[in-house]
Amino acid sequence: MINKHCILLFVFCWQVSIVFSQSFSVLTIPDSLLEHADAVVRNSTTEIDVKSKNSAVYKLDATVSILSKKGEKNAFVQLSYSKMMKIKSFKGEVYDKFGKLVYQIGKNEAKDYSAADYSEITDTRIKSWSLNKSVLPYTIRYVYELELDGLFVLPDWQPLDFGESGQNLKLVLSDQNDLIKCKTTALRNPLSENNKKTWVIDGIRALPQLNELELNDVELPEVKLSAKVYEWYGITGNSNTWSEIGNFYHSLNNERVQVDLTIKNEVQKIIGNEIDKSTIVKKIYSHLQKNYRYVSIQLGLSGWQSEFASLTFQKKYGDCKALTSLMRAMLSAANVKSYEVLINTNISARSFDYNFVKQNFNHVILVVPLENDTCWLECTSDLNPAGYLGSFTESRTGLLISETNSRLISTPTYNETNNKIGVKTSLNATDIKAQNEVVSYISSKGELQDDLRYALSRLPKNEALLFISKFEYLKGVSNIQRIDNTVIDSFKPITSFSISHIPPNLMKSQGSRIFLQPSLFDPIGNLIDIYSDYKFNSSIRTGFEFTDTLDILLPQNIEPETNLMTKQFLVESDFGVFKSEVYFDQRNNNLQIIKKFILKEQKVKQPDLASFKIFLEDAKKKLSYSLVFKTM
Amino acid sequence: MKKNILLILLTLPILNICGQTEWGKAEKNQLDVRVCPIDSNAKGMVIYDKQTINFKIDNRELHTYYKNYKRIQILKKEGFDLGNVMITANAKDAIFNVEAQILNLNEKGVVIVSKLDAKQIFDEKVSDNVIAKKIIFPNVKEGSIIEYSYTIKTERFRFLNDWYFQSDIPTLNSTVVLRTPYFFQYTALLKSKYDISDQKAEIFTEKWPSYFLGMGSTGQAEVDVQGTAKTFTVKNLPALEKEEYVDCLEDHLARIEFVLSKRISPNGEVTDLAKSWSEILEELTKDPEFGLLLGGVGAHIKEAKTITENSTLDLDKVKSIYEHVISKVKWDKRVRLLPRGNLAKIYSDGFGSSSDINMILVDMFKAAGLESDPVLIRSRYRGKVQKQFPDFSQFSNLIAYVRVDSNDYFIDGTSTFLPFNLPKYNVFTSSGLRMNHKKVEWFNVGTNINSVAKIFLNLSMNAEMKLAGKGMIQTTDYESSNIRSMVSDKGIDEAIKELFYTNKEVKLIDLKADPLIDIYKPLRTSFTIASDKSYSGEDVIYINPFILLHREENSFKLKERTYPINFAYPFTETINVSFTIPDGYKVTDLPKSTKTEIEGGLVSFTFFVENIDKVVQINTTLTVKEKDISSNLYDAVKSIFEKLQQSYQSLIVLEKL
Repeated sequence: MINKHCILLFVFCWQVSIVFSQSFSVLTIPDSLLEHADAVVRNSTTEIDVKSKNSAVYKLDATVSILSKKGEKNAFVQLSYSKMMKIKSFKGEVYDKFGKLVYQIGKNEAKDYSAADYSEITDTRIKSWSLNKSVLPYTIRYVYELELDGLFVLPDWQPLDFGESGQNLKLVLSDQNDLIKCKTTALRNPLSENNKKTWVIDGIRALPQLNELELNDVELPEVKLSAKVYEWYGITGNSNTWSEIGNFYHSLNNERVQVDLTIKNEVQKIIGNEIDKSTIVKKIYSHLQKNYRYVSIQLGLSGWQSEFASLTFQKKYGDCKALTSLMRAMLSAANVKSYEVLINTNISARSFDYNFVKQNFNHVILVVPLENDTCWLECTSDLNPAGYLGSFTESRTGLLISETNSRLISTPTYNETNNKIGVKTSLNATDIKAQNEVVSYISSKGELQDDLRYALSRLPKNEALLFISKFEYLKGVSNIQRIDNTVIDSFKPITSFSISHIPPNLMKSQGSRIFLQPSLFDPIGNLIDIYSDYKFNSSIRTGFEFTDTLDILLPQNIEPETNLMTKQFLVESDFGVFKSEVYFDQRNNNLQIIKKFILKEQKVKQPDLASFKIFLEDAKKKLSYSLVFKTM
Repeated sequence: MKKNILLILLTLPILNICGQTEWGKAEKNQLDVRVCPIDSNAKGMVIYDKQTINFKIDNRELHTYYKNYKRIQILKKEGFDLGNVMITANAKDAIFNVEAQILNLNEKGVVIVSKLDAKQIFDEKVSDNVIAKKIIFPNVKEGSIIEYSYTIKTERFRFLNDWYFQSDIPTLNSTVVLRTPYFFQYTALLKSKYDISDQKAEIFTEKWPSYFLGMGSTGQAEVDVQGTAKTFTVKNLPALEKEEYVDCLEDHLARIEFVLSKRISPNGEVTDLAKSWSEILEELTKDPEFGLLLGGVGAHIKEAKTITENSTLDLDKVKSIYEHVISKVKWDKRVRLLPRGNLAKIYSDGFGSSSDINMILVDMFKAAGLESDPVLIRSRYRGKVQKQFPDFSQFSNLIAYVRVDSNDYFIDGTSTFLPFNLPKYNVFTSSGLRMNHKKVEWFNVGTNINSVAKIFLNLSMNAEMKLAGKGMIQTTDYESSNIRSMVSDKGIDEAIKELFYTNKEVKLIDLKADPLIDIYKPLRTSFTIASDKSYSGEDVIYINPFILLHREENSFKLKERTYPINFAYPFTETINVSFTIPDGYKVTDLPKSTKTEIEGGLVSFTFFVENIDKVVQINTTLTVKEKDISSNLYDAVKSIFEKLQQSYQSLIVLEKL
């Protein structure tokens, strides 16, 4: 199992090529392939020769013309290697725009470094070659061969990315023993001959680069590959069904979850006489969070096999597998049944391919079925409350591991009904001349509190203050002086705190008038910025509700000069709601302004983008206004 | 005063408790400590950090041994990550005798010492040049004390590893002991704002092989050698907090450096080991793989002559060669001191490291008859050059020097968007050594050229009573190159968004910049200002005219800063707003003009407001005349930047007539 910090280790460069022509000149690329292209993948071939369930050879010969700075990412070739995957050869060449060879590099001239960061332990290493050795535009060619000692993590063939056009791209799969299954997207069926399949594509134009929340609805050519039978460190597994992948994980890890006497005794101390299962789960999870720390250790088989729960119990640290196994063991000691769930943290439920069974997971969490509820536990987090996953693993499809019935399962989705921020600000403005420091009480829930929880729990005060002043959902706030009253709820995803700030434009008096600009926070402006140049189907990834309540005690004998009725707004659309209400209690001189903005989590189709943007603009316009009061 | 006495009384017992530094020993009440006596917010503290440096002969080779012992207490859950320790060394060195243990209280309140087994200490080859041992301490809790010891053995002995007394968590006691036999004399250079609290020298005697001292003929395998153990201790050092505008934070940590300066033979003869800079330069200029690469022949030499043959002014020649090289030879992003080989070949290949490119520049300048040499420099992140310790390895990069009409120019061909006379400000430290054997010449390669960024905003209200107008950003020198470089990478819209800050109520549209290749001209970026917010029907209107800013907030936030401010280059930032009052309205309130400056204008801020007829003119000017400003002036600089931020909140108040 790969932990969340080293997912990238298993990312390869899967462009492929064939040497149809040895012209490396950029000048010979057809004009049709230049449109939207930052790079052109030319004459490239990938050959995968599957020899047995524990042996394959992977060869790539890729020629790529690099046209722009964005395309230059192709010029940095990185290959990870380990005991299970060896780099047998590498050769790189660089040609200037006229096709003249200007640079060559071999396997042994690579930079070689550990894939681990400061607190990680791994035996995976990386070799990298820089082929950025000419003035743009230029062409690179690189050829390498990998020896795979197992088919467990077999990469898909994705020869092109957005912003890349393709010319003569080829995948040749030699599979003598019929060990590999394939699924083809946006490609013709392969030519088959003697257990050899060949996919060829040519003249593929580049698709423009997408913004972060634009959706990849146009399919790029791809061949998904998965071993039907594989071997990993001597252990055989199958992937004909999701259940078989679950069985493999179960067989590797089940005995690691055994409960010994020390665990039993500790659990007994933690739960005492508690019999309510939900409370037991919370107590044990809280104990895990307070006493254990996440450390990633990925050595050999331990990349997929957990440490023994008893050992993690002693050491008080572990990776996702180890902490999850221990949590499962402790729950088991309390007679609470739980299950590991494998997750791919990179793939949302929307893009998960249910129909193509493949080991493609990189993380593990725990699920606890309770009588009236299901409790999800992210065991690597020492901040999340029990039952709450956070944005790292919410809205994913996972594989629940069970001895007899491993199956796909969905993790919870958090949207506008869960993700909320409520701000309450009270201001005594009876002494209008005073420079008013305002205290706003902020309560955040769901995904909107994830980062706030981290900032308030882990960052030094100065940095936390800076973080909040830049927090996208609290835009508009300025001159924050202090953070106080921080409450991190241990049992619910709720984080509350107050900020003392000096809003520059909130209130001003002049003659007999008081001028108010009651807009302290702006949760909309940032959305307008994000979506301003979106052109394709897009996603509202985080639906949320924002409520801003401002109470102002005004001086006596005052009346509104502005017609308050003109400041009551309601903007409704399929994308959300904006509502603004103003109440003035003249007898008590109390002004209350309540603004609510709801953004609904959804996919926005391209034809609807314009009306989505209009909704945001309209809400934004009505968010800020001025009020004038006059002494009677 | 009473408060201070109380604080002393409260912290004294804790300081005493924390005084236990013996391996494996701790009192129960020490493990109960949860607050650092010198920093109540600290997540952990270094109780004791000690290094002993001595010298030994192994396999007939002299080796330096660094024996280390460190004791850290975890104070808060946030400090659990202090239980992950990484010890690094040069790949040619060895890390050995690694021992680690953790001290905790058991349920009965008894101190339990748990020694780590070998499985919890991991070897890692970090890169081709660095090796590491990683220690993952088990059973880390609030109050845990972790301690570890190890030895690093290296063949290097002339420049010893710097000893850092200070770190990013508070340190109660940091000690280094240098044990030198009489025949080695090291110079110690203390760089600390904090006083040495304990310094002593003790005489010791130890055995050394007689052959090493040239005394093999005595017939004894070993002889007694006297030496001196010098101890330096600094106590109660706060954590060093990072803030913006610092060149190299490590350079400001309290530390001590040792350099072997003399060797004394048994007969008392003193040999001065320190090479002079003059000797080093002599060697470098005559090195076939370095200095002798210059003055060769090849296409670049021919090209230098060709492109300068019609130039009558030397400065034009410099410019022509510089522009030719930056377009012909691509920088491959590597920073190197030594060129990879023949300069004509590198020129022909069309790519190279910083050294390759700048050596080609020097060679071409020379070929054009100009006075030019390489200048050796040091990467900024490595800290300042120690001129008092002549050593080639202090440098990591080079740039080209050329002298024209009695003016010195320092030229770096790795940037596409800087004029020839502006070396990159954020890459290297300011001291450079001219590589010329005739004379040791140090240069300040930083620039005092003032870079200017001016924002012009011409604002008015349109027919729909929305804020509208035209604007322009005009920049020079580094400020221009920052924009040019960003525009080249990300496009004009994204560049302005990243480098400047816009008021959310307006949009900048139709952004257009001058051609990026005109690197010698000021860069002008023009735009149109549009807003959706209508003030139509409002009796009173508040306008914040600062719709585009150079900086969003005050970067200076620390209560106290112990290291200088480094602005990288002197600069002037202005915002000139001209706001036309809409018909039917009058101005009822305007901010007031102010001026603040420190040290005779070293840093100054002026805020000027004027209303003449239908136009309100507001100008702000922030000027920083020197790039380096002492930490003594931190509060004053912070206050000026605070005033700047306050001025950006100013309002023009309009009332309907």
